[in-house]
Amino acid sequence: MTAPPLVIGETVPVDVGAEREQMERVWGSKRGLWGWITTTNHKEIGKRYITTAFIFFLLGGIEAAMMRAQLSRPENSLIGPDKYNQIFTMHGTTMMFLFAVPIMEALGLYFVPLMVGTRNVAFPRLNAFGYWLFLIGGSFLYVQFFLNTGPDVGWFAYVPLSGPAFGPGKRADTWAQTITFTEIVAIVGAIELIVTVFKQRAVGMSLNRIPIFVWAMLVTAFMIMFAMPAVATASMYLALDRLVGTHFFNPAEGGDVLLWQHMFWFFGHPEVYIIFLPATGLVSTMLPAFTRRPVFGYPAMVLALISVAFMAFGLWVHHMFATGIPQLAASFFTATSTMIAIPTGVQIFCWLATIWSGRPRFATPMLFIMGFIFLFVIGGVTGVMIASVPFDLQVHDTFFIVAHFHYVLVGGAVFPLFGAFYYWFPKVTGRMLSERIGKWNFWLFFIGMNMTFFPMHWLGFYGMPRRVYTYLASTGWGPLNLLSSIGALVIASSVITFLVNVVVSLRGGAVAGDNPWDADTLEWATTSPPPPYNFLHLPVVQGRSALWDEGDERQVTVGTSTERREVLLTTPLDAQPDSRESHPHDSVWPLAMALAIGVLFITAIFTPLALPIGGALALIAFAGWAWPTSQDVESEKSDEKISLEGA
Amino acid sequence: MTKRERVTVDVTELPTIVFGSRGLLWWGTWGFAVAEGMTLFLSIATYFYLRRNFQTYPPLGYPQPDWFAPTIGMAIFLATCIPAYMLKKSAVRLDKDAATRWLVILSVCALVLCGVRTIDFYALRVLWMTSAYGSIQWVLLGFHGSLLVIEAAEVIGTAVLFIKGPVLPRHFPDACDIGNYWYFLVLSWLPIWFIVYIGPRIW
Amino acid sequence: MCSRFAEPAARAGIVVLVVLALAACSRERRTFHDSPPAASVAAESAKAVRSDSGVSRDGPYGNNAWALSQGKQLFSAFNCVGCHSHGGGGMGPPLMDSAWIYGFEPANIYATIANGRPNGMPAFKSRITPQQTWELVAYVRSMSGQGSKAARTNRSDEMEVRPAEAQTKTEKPVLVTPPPTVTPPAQEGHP
Repeated sequence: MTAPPLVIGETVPVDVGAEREQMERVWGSKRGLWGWITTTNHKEIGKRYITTAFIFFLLGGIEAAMMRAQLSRPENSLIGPDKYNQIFTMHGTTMMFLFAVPIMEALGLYFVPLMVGTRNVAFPRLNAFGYWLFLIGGSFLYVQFFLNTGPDVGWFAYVPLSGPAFGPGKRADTWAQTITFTEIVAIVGAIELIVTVFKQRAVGMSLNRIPIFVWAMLVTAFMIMFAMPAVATASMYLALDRLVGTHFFNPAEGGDVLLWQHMFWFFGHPEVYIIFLPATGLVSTMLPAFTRRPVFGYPAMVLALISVAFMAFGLWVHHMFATGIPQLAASFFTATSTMIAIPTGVQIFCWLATIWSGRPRFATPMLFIMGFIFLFVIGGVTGVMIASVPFDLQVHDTFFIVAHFHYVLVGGAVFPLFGAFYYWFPKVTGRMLSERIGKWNFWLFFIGMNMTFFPMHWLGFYGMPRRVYTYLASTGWGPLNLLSSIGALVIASSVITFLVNVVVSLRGGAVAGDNPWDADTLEWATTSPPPPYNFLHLPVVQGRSALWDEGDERQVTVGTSTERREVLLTTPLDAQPDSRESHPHDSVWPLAMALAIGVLFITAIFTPLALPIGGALALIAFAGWAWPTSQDVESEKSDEKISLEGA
Repeated sequence: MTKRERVTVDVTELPTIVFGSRGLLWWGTWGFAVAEGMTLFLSIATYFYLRRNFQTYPPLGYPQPDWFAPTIGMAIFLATCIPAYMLKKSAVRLDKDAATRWLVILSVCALVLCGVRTIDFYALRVLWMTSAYGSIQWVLLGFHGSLLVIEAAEVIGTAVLFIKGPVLPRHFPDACDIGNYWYFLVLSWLPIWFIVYIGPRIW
Repeated sequence: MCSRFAEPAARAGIVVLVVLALAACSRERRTFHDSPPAASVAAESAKAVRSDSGVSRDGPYGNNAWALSQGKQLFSAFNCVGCHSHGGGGMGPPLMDSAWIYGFEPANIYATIANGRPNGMPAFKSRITPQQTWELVAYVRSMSGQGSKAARTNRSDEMEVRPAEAQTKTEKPVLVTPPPTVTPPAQEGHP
């Protein structure tokens, strides 16, 4: 502080220890449990988010293993039909709502601020609130499951099965409320991401220079804003039908069961791309580090992302071909479903061109990328097959569909995700994951994945329906099912290998340094793990590959406060510096708000009193959240510079 | 370990309080408005989807909803745009007294509108559990009503803050965004009022 | 100071959890298999009043959602609706009000369904199993709001004729005098 302020043209001195200490004081969270509860740092919350979502992945995986154990031989009596229904519903619900979407958003919430060169995510308290609500919603589902109240109606909970007449007890209500939780979480995360990307980019990072992962998260966030309300509305109708006797899905009183399917799939199909687009962003962002060249066809990639996002909202009816929709509609949705292969194909060819023209280095993340391309193409091809109505009618609700979407989702999202774990683990923890164990991890996963899901294509052709808890020996499905179950064991061993790798590497992994992969995006410009304020001096970006285009000298910004939390806002398109905005302090109120909403949603299943009680609690939390503390008053000086321009 | 850094941009002179789309909260407010607007849009889509299941609308045996009281309510709704507009203007002038005054007036409006919404429910002349017709009518009103109640809480809370609490410079752009959200609330009520109370009479 | 409060708090927490777990378990259990029929209606209905049978005063299924929904299906499948309507009564007495002629305890209702009653209530013991009878008992009681609210059935996918059982307020059951017997049934009637 005693040092004179830096001015333009000056080189930053080597010794910035005092400045770092000051920033640490301003941006750091308190030590101990209180600091842990109140933190609003996007990296702390992102880490928790990723860990929590990964634990849900493990739980969903255990459920998958239980199903495979039950199906490993005909007329197995390991798990009864009632439990089996709950388990497959839990597996689907967990993987879609508690793992895939949250973990992609969590990666975004961790890395987008780093990649765009800012200090924290926009609306950090909302971010903390989102995490706590996610934790409460996910735990609620599992507590209910252990109380034998786990949903048993499938992850898309079709009425009338899930409706009031045929879904006795509170099982389907558990599902509907879990969905409501996760929708709110997804929407608040999406808003944070959009605002962070539009307003908080580093100076010079114009919209045509942002990393493709950031593009993917931006596009995904917009999709979430338009898709999630559909399932939130639908699950609200379902809850109202079940709890207060409305008739949305009762045909005898003018309701309509297909209304549910339309509403659900209007969300459900974009959902697939909400999971898949961030994964493609991960691939496009990792690839340059392993091919030593910028990704091929940046504009084509970005346009592909955007066009996929639009098309994704125009093909939901292909999930409903078997419901007897008009032929013209069926043809239309066949056409759109096939058409979406075009932008996806553009992306695949761009990746191939990047690898072809680069100097590929097959480290573990790259292996996962190669595995992803191979598996996703298989899943994509079966996708085009089932876009055709006659074929779809043949395999509808069979194991062929199960095979298809596991190739798309495991191959298309989980493989890039594991690649991303290997790639960004050093940034998050400061240590490299072991390459040797990593190779085992990849090959076990790749072999296990094909062993588990490829036979399901045949099983589907042989007519094995999905969601049956057992089958007769005379069907002849036994051997293929056994093969599939052994494959599941191989996948399980691969995931255990990964966990071992994490534990071993956290203790004794090679120290990573700032930029172990010599990559080009901004998160590698800071230390590993990054400090609470991310960058001591906010970077100025020169080109698309920020770190490769800057030469041997980094240009930086000065002038944001070191006395209080402050973020630099830039213009949405060109990222020209526009204003400095004070940034919220840590707070316990987001947790209180999440608890209030949790009470509201969970007790709403049992009593309408939930509304006044939960509402009052939320009101208290809201007041605490928004009311300025003495700390706020202190840091937001009365001599702030106010600009009315554009008001 | 670290690269040499050279200062090329100095942002010391930039403003710290900005209005409109230059600030973060404006984006956040509209973000929520878009997500909520999408929910309302889908509820309206549901209305038209379910409407196909009835030969006449309202279905046989149900009375037409009362249009008079809700239309008066609609007029009140539109009129509250004036205090919202005045709030925005006084906030941009950084006039704390005027902003406080308009926040209080807007709070009163919000409470009045909560009362109006209760009358709106009676004007439906149908219960949610009698048929899908009643269900969607109630949900359209109820969903918009919940937005209204939440916004009423926010307006009243902000009014209390302006009267009692430490008013910081950043609260002026915040007050502006309350005005913006209020516009969304009023505008989104227009189509719902129309299809619920007026539509069945004219088509 | 902390520990002084922590222990009772923890204990209270555990108690709450256990109660929740028990409530959820009895509500959500699904029994698909019949228990072997008891020797007689008297023996079977005695189950409901034996204190050691682990059966609550709402009968074996009074708090069980699955059984209640099965009972609701049986109620229309065996045409109980024909006389009792959807609970409002017709040829037979209403079931959704507080008045009971032959007793409101689960054991009484079991005996009513199994053996029949004067003035037209047929005996069903040779047509439905004891388990199904108990399911019907639970459902019939739920029509006037007896038993756990959380377990009761919601609206049907049918024309709305009355608020669903879950929305029914709990009536306080009272015994009323039976009407004069017209002709005692000579044999087991048929539904």
